[in-house]
Amino acid sequence: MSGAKKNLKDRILVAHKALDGSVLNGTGTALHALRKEGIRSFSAVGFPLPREEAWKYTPVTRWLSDSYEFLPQRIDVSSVAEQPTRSLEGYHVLTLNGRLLSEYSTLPPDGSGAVVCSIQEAVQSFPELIDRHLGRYADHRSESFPALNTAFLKDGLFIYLRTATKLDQPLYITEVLHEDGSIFHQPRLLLIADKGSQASIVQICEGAASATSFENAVAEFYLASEAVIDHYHVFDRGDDAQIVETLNVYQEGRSHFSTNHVAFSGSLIRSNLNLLPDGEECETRLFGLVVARGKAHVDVHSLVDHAQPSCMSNELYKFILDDEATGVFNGKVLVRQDAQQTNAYQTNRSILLSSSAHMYSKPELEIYADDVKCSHGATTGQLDDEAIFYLRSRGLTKNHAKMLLLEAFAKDVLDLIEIDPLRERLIARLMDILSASATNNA
Amino acid sequence: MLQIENLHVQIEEDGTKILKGVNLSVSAGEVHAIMGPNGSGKSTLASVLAGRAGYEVTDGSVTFQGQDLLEMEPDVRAREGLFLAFQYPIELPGVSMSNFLRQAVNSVRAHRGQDELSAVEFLKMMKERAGYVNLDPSLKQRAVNEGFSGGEKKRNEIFQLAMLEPKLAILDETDSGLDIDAMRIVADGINRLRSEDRSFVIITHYQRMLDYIVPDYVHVLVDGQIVRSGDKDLALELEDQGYDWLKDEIAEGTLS
Ligand SMILES: Nc1ncnc2c1ncn2[C@@H]1O[C@H](COP(=O)(O)OP(=O)(O)O)[C@@H](O)[C@H]1O
Ligand SMILES: [Mg+2]
Repeated sequence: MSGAKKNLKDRILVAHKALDGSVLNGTGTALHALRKEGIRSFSAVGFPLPREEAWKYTPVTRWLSDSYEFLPQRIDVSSVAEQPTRSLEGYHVLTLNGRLLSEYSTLPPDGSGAVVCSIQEAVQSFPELIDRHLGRYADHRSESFPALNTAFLKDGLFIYLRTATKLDQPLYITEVLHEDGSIFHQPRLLLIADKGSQASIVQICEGAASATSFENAVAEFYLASEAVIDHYHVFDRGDDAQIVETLNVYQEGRSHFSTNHVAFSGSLIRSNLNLLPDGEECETRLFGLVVARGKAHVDVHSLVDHAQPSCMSNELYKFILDDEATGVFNGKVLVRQDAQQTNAYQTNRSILLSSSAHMYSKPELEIYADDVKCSHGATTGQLDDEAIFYLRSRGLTKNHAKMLLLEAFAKDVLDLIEIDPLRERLIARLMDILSASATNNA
Repeated sequence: MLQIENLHVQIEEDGTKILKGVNLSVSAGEVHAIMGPNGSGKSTLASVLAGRAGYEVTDGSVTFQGQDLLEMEPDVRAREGLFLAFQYPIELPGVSMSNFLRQAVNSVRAHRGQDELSAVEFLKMMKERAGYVNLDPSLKQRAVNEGFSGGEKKRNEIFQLAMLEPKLAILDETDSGLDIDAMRIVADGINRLRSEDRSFVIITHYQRMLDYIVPDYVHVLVDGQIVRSGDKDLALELEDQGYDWLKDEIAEGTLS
């Protein structure tokens, strides 16, 4: 075998050839050209090999099977039940296997300055924006997963905030999967936030995914100057779910971006987070909470690439690992020579609840400018026995004491969520998980 | 209330013998002071009573309200009515005082067959009892002991004692590190909590605390043994003469 997962790769190339002449047609020349680039580079690079540094702890082919379908399935839309996230106050976008279901969505009204439609529609309505932004930030020319996603690019979600649009409520994107067989899901999201626009965008990935399917999600965010985007991403698709997600964010001057990633379940979650503040006085925040149990494997790869002066970035990622779970944190902060007066902070803290859980933490700080303030720190440990004893001496059981300490540990991240009902929902879910975990270990 | 008989304790890790046959009997409502030089084993005794890990009881027994205390988990001891005010209270970042205490109070109450306190009742109780030790009400919003001054941490221990209403309170050097005003506040709080059915074991290095909390008995612990017991006057004697005369007597074998 000359490369990783050669059978699968061959099947992908065959499937692409068949589909590109039929189902994937009729989506305009822009998408056709991108797909061509995508398949060409995927054909060249294939899947990442374990010997590649970036995939060392996550030999991703281990989670891939040989028998996926790449064709978006025809699905009876009425099977999508009312989603529990509906009760959260805000605008709601429902996608099914990556396709926007407008009739089940509550979109921002015309005149709000926000446009939400499928990428296919956007090709017709906003050809210049598609041309300028789609495929410009995620690297489909050399990265396997963005290349593969781009090779089959057809549907996908397009969000456009016109200049100075201020969305008055959060925009929830509930991404539902329907699986009949083994599906290789490839959702795509393009967010364009024009000058001075503001919005909170919440991606919710819930509802069980099957062990035989795989999700390769790609999101590209463009923030024009002075745009303010708060992004949240919840991963809770059950213990069998397998997902590789790529998020690329491009920021112009004085824009603010924050993302808060919360992972509560999944067999494999690999996040590739690439943040490029490419203008002066940008602010970039990257927060994450991972709770992993069973044999779950969660790998967070982040890059904050400071190319311009006077920006700040702050990254805080926390892991709670139980059973035989594995966590990986590889956070790189790059401060290029021109990026004077950069303030960049990075922290990774992990708690191991079992002796079979593993954490690999690798913060990387690469600084080529001299007038900067940067710090990073990583700690991995167990819950503090003294703290547990203190709480027990006040009458709390051992499990109760542990839960209280873990809650405090996790809330450091969850308390940063500025949407009250979302935060409360996630804290409630966290407490459910922790109490189930405590009961199992009792 | 509490009977300690011939208690021998060693450090689990290296087998160092710390307590070498401690005997102590505390009845309901009594206040006992335990004094002794640094390193004599006072905190070890408190730790073993509260159930801290890392100590091994090699001989002897401890009975608390007729039950074998050493068989109980630390949290069961607390729910049964034993309270330890820590010599070095630990900081718990992110754990809010009110959340922690509400859960603690309710688990102790549930064990005693009392109803759970409502949120309103609980807040009222917190406000009242924090007042016992002049604890700033805003501290309750903060994380447990995080950013508290040394004095605030000690007062917080007594505040928790007031909230949990134990049968037996063991105070490990609650007075040390406090200036005279702070010590008075703490002592007043403790005096207010004295009652016929609540006993205290007050571990202290100095006798000055005992000017404010008058003990029924004073015991001197030297090198893992209680070498002398008496009334409050023994504390004054120690204040005058230090511990050396007792140590000398032990060395000469005039004390057993
Ligand atoms: N957990 C422990 N591990 C090792 N040594 C200990 C431990 N606890 C106490 N010791 C030792 O036991 C002796 C008594 O300590 P301690 O009980 O703290 O005395 P006191 O409170 O009277 O000052 C000291 O020599 C101390 O170093
Ligand atoms: Mg001590």
